Amino acid sequence: MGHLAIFIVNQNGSLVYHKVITPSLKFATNDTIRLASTFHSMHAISSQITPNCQDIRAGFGGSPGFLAGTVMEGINEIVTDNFTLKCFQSFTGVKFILVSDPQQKDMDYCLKSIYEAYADHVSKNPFQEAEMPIRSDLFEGSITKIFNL
Amino acid sequence: MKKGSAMNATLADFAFERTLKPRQEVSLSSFSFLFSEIVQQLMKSEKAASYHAHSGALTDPMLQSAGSGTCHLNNDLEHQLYQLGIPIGEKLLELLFYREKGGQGGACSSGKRETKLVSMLHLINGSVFKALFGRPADGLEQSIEDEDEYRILDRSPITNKFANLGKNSQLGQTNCAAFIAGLIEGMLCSAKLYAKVTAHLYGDEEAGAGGDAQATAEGEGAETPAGAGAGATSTTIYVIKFAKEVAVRERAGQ
Repeated sequence: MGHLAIFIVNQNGSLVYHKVITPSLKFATNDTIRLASTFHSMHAISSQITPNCQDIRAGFGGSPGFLAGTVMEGINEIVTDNFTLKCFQSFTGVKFILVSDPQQKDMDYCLKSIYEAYADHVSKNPFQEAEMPIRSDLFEGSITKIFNL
Repeated sequence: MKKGSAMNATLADFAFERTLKPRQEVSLSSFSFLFSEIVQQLMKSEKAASYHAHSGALTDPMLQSAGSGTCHLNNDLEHQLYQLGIPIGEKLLELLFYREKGGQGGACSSGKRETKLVSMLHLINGSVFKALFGRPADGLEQSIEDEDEYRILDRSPITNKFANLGKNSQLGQTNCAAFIAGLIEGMLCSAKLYAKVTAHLYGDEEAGAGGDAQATAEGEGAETPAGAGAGATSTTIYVIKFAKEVAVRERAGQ
């Protein structure tokens, strides 16, 4: 139990990174791509059908300064009996999606850590091509560290 | 600058304050973004050049330098980074000396210009690295096989901090620390200690096993606090090969 999987979806809705955290969970590669792009479209649709949603983010991951005051758009959270999905969209439109067990408490913190790792090892990596799959070993390493794999 | 002179400061004083005083530290992120953009720009221009002319003129300098036997570069990107570093190094040395004159605790404690080979290397190894990266380099040693060759060990070059190619890449091993190698060469050459400096990733080094083994032994004792996983792949050795005339002059001076 705990966290189940991470997806990172770029501005255009294609999957740039995914990692299954619970080993028992099996995904075919095509499935992950399909899921990611479906979620991307649903996110876009939901922000269209609630155009007057003006909820302001109070804070993120326990730090009031970070992203506080930005407008929440689209799907932020899906809660079911079997899992909780949290989605965090960065300013540039990159979506970080974390799927966890419903009891999990530290999802915001994990998303923030993933965002930090992304900012460090993907944005600042000279060899990372924009909107291409993430292959950096350093990024992989920091994700492993976040989830104690 | 005394406090009293701040009242009637001239433009010259202002310029001095602005350029010659040691700067505050620059954000690592700002540097990384800028450097990342430089590398991507170079890669783009490289791609464009090889597209327009397959036997490209751009590869010529690399072939020449490889032919001279003093430098082996993995690819054109490293060569371009190295070329970028040289003029910066030339100006940097001068700037550090001038700052020293300002008496703000600059690069070299005595304020004099180094003319001796070994003391210059010590200056780079210690003070210059400190001024640039906030810490001294991780080791300076003379090569065993060739006494005109020196090595500076850098366990986590700032240029490699976030750079990673991933597993399956066509670029192979590219070391962005070639930029720092160029910087060191620029500094040495502007001090008339002509040398060829190359950056080598530690680990894929077969040649000169004697010197390298020594370096690891020292390193394991020191155990840097930086992330072991990241440090292991980015550890770089700057091989400094001095020109013959420099070595001859150095021996004559002793």
